[in-house]
Amino acid sequence: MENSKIEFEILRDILKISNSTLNLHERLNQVVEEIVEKMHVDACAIYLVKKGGETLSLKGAVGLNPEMINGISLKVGEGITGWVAAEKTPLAVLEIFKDPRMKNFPGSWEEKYRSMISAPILFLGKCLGVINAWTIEEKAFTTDDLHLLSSIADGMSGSIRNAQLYLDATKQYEELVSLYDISKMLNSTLELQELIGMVTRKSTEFIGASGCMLHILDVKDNLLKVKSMYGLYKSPEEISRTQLRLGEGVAGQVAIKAIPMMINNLPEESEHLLPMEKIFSSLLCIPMTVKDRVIGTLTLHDKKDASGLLVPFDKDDMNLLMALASQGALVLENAWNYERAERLFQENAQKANDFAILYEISNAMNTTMNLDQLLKIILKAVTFGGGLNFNRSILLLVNEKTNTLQGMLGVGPDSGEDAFRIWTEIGSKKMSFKEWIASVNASGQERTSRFDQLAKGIRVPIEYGKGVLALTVLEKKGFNIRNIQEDPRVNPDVLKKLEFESFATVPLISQDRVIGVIVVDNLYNKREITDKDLRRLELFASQAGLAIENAKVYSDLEKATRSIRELQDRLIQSEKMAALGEMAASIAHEIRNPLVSIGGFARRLDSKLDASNPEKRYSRIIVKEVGRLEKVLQEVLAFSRSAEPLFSECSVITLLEEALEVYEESFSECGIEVIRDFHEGVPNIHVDSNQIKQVFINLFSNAQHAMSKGGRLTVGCEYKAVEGEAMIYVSDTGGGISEDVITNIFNPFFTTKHTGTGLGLAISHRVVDMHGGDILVKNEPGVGVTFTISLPARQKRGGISEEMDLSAARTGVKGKEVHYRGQGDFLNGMGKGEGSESIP
Amino acid sequence: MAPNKDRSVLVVDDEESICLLYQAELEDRGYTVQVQNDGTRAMEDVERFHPDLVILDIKMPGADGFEILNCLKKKFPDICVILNSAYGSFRNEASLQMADGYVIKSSDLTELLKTIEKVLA
Repeated sequence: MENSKIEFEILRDILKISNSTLNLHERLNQVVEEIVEKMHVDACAIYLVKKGGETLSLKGAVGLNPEMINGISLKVGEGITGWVAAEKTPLAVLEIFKDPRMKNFPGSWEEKYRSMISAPILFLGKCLGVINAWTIEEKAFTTDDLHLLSSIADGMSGSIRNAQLYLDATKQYEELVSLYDISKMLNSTLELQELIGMVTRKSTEFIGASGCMLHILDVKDNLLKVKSMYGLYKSPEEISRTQLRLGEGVAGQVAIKAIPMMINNLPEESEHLLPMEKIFSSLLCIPMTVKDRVIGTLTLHDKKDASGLLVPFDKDDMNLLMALASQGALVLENAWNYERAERLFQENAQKANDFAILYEISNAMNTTMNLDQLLKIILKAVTFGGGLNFNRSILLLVNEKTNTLQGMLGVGPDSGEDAFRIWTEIGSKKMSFKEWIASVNASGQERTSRFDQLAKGIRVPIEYGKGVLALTVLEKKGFNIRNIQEDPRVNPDVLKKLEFESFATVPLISQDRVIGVIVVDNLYNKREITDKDLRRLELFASQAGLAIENAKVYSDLEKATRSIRELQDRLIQSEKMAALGEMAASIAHEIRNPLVSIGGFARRLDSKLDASNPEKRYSRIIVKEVGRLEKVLQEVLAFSRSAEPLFSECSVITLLEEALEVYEESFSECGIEVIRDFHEGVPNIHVDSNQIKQVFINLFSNAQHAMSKGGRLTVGCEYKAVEGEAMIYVSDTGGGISEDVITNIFNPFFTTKHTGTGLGLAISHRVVDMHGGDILVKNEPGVGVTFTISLPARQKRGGISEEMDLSAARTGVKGKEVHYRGQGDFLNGMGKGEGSESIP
Repeated sequence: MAPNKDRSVLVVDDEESICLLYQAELEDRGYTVQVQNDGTRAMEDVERFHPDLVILDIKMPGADGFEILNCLKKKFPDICVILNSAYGSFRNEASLQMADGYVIKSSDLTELLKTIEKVLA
């Protein structure tokens, strides 16, 4: 009865304590105090089974060393307490030190007690803990005592369970909060390296491990590579293996199976492990996956508890780490994508920059149509630091006539010192390409370098076996020659002088045709020419090729325009002449008739007058002056366009003799000796005899004028069978023509005489022209002048060919064409002031 | 002068002074000379005198030397014609070819006289 009253009181108090708001630890302490007081024992303690159900830990005690609370931990089945927990049966022990199950924990003060009673705290058949009570004196606990303690235990079980659940919930909540914090942190940055570092550090801290290693699977070579480490090792350099094959080591196995691995009993269980993994006592490795794809592994080692003791990893750790890893994997994936996008963006930006430079260069190229300047700009672009950035470059152009490559220009420093000076200069000014080109053009600092001179001397036949330069043209592609000595394609003779060691070539292509080659090298900074360099150079070369072609076309166009303008000028000139001619012709009739009468009658009178008659002097004057007037008239008329040739068959020699006859008297008067050098076999020529005779007369007139104080006139004629031409030459000893005069002698109205129209030679030139012949003047200053006329004179072969010649000449069209061409060439040729000129 | 005595020449030119000069010079050399200043009447004279040679001016008021030449050569192919003009040249080449000679007017009659001799030879 008393017993049941005590039992009731105890149970009532225990329930009260259990339902109080005190925390579990305080409640347990109150319960043990209550038991000591009410059950008249000397000590009481409560052990609780830890999570996982494998160990028991002392949680509350009276009469034991309070320092041992949380300090004693024993396995289920170990000691008396462990036995009770394992068997889930209450037990009374009379003499504890005689019990074989007894396990003493030194310093726990348990050695003070002799008898003991113990009961499991059960909840739904599961052991949550054990309540022990001790007495100093030996005491035989009754079944009632056992029953009572069991009842107490039962009464507490609900409260302990609740407390544990609450604790679990709190812990989970805290873990969730931590996870949330971590994921928030992970999402705060897209810096991949920072993220990776964060994942390893947080995982280590979160789980309480000593260190962590993050492997990432490289999809290119299927190797797991260490990307980050935390804890024991600070950097991948410190470990022996920075990359693992799939299946190799813990990380390799986890990656290939995509399931976590937990090893808590190292080094015993060290099969399949790498030496570097065997140094740890426990490992927890989990796969990092994104959409079922393993992207890497996270390996923790050596978990420690709060006091720094090694403890094994458990299921919770694994679950937590997996949660963290899946977060981390996602974030890493994002970061990768971001980084890849950024890298792509940067590559594109680089390309855009390349294009910007090319654009700038092409703009610069478009500023000039002058080929020389253009070539200079092209090579400057190739060697410009911000441009294509080669040390030296040579430009060669294809000469289609000789089928050779010809060096046009070389740009580059002559020596290392030179290079350094130029580069520092450009570097210090930070010039853009446009500014640089402008400054180069403005300062005119282009002294010719030795390199340029050597470059200009290059001549390579465009044939196979003649070296890389020829090959570049023939194969229409660039070459990157890494070693000039070892490459059999190189023709060493060509490039030796230029000190090339390695170089690259690229063809300049315009409209599918190779028009030249650019050669580049980096002699001074020894930078290797990469394929990327070559691609940029090729891109540039296609631009440059176009620009060169444009410049060429422009220059051709300019030339054509110029010749059209000249033609136009000459047309205008000849129009003027024609107008003059027509006017002359219209007045000629009016003037010539009276002149004929005056002159004719004067001659009549003159012939009738006796030589001694003083009047004869006057009649001679009339005759002479009329003759002069008639000559002027004739020349003006002859120069008019209406004077088209009237062809007939005649002998050159006869015409020459007739012309000489006109001047015979004058020549003898001036003391001019006439020498005839007429060769035999000169065929008849088909000409307008009057006009050709006029040409001879004009030449004789000039000769007479030049030798007014005497001299020797040589008149010659011979047949050039090969050319089918009659050659007539008229040579005087009049001292020649001065340089400034000779350039003008064929120009109409140019004269050095006091009298005369200045039309004589202009007419002669035109007449010979219209006959399809040539007139040349050979001037020997101080000696004399020789005029050479060649006229077509074919040996008769048959009537038809002669008739054809006739018709061609008669249309007059040929004559006009010849006239223009003749004058054009004549104008160009005369400018040179040479002694001998051709007027075709 | 005797060698040309039986040779008759008709000079057709609108310039009287020229006719006079030619007549004087030719008669000095023994030719029988008729002159006509009016080109339109040239053919009448040719028919009337039937000369051995006609010296024919080309450009005359109311008459064209080439037309006269054409007409004359059709009717009297045996009569020689020398065209004599102040012009340097003519486009009417075909007609020019019909003439036996062509001499540009000059105060120096050497050329003309030579041509006459050649034509009548």
